[in-house]
Amino acid sequence: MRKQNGKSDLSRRGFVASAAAATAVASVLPAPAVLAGGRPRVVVVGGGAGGATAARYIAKDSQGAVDVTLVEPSRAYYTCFFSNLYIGGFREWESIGHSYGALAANHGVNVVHDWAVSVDRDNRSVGLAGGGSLAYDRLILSPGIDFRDGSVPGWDLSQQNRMPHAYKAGSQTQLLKAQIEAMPEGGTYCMVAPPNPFRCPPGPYERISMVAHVLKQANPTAKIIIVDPKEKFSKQGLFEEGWQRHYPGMIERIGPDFGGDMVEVRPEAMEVVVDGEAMKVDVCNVIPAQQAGRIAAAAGITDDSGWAPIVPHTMQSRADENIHVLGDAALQGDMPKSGFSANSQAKACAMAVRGALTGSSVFPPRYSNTCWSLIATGDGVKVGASYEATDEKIAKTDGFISQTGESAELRMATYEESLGWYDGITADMFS
Amino acid sequence: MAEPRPRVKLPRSIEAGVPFTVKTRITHPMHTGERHDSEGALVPRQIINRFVVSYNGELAISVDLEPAVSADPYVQFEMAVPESGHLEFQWFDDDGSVYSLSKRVDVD
Repeated sequence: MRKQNGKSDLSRRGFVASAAAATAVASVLPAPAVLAGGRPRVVVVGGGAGGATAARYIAKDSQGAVDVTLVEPSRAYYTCFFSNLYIGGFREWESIGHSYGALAANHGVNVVHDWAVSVDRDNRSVGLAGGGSLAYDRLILSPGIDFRDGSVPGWDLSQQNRMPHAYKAGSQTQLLKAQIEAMPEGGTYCMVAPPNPFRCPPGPYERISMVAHVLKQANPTAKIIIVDPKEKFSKQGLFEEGWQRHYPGMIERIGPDFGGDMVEVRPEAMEVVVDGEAMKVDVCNVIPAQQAGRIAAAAGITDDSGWAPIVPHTMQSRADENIHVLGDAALQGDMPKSGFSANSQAKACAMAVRGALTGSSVFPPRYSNTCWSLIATGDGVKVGASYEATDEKIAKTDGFISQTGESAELRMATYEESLGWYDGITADMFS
Repeated sequence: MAEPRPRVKLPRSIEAGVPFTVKTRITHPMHTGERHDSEGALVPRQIINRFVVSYNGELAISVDLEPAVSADPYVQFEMAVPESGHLEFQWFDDDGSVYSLSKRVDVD
């Protein structure tokens, strides 16, 4: 198989190179040639933990029997997971960056760097911002999140440089880190935390830990304020124990009991207004309420919640059996919106798609997730669970969570486990 | 240590003579005097030892806090006021500092 495919692999490598050089990406699409081959076509939108994994597994395991095209606007993909560790100074920026070259070279995935902007479900094709379109037999949408307009009064995307979200990894992450490092002595960092459900439930609180770690060394009289609309949050006991141990007196969380659910921001004045009272801040990290990445709504497969309901056994959209939805965008039940979850769902989805298109065996899916968080140097904690598909939802079967008062050795081992996981999942996505 | 920050939450509307809930909290590590730092040295006791609220200059509530009270001490109580005025909140630190906050109350 590999030899047989040698030629087309080469041409695809060339295709990636030419796509990188061309501005009008669509003009160099070899789509008609692919159609002529008669192989079933899978289009994957979004090259993160869901999409990249699904594309890789379908291409790899079908041994060339399925034509796989991955649509992803970024040429270099920076993982949202571990981007907090970059903010904390535990990772170099380049260490969380990955390219799609190996997906094309090793597995024959067509990688198209463009935005998917529309889905024609009747004719089964995806429209690209560059003007072209891609026909599919199965479409896999793994677009991650977009922000809900108006969820934080005073903030919109035009203010993201003054008040960064840094909740899609990239230049926003670098900007937030630079702003934290430039804070005046004794200054205030404020995070406006999102309401449920949102990407990476412990993410905002791991970020708080990393910001505190940076400020404790560089700016120890600085203050950290979390304005939070939620009563409670992921791994709360573990984070609060760690904050008191490592950063006593530095972090204040304003929950709904103190008006954290009534917040407004004034980017021009760098003010945050909580329950009618304005406070001046030096850095304001606004993480707005979230919904499925725009293409899911454009495809008409989201419900009133803003997320896309799926069939738990196959990750197929409940609105269209030719579309699968992975990761953050999916409304699936008990799994948190995490890179680990998306990667786990992608493998079940890849198996189901290959089964439908090539007749390969399909087994009941088993889903799993673990979310690690770093609180301070060597102080890692985790929460995780296993899941099964029921007719109603992806349902949690059993779980585990780090305990308060654990030894430094165990916390270090948990952190080291997370490093191993990062290497593993990024290889599973990109190698 | 970052400067402790007091915070108070009152209901949106308050009626004369009708009890309402006051929620208060101050960020403070509340060092018990029993804990050790990462080098093994005993961290000296430093807590908020007293919390006092007055209304238009009249004592409303006074609370003695002990070392067993957790970090960021939270105190909630009910009170009623006869007319509009000012609530004064004061937190007394072992180190002699006093942190205070004032809230205007307008009865409906």
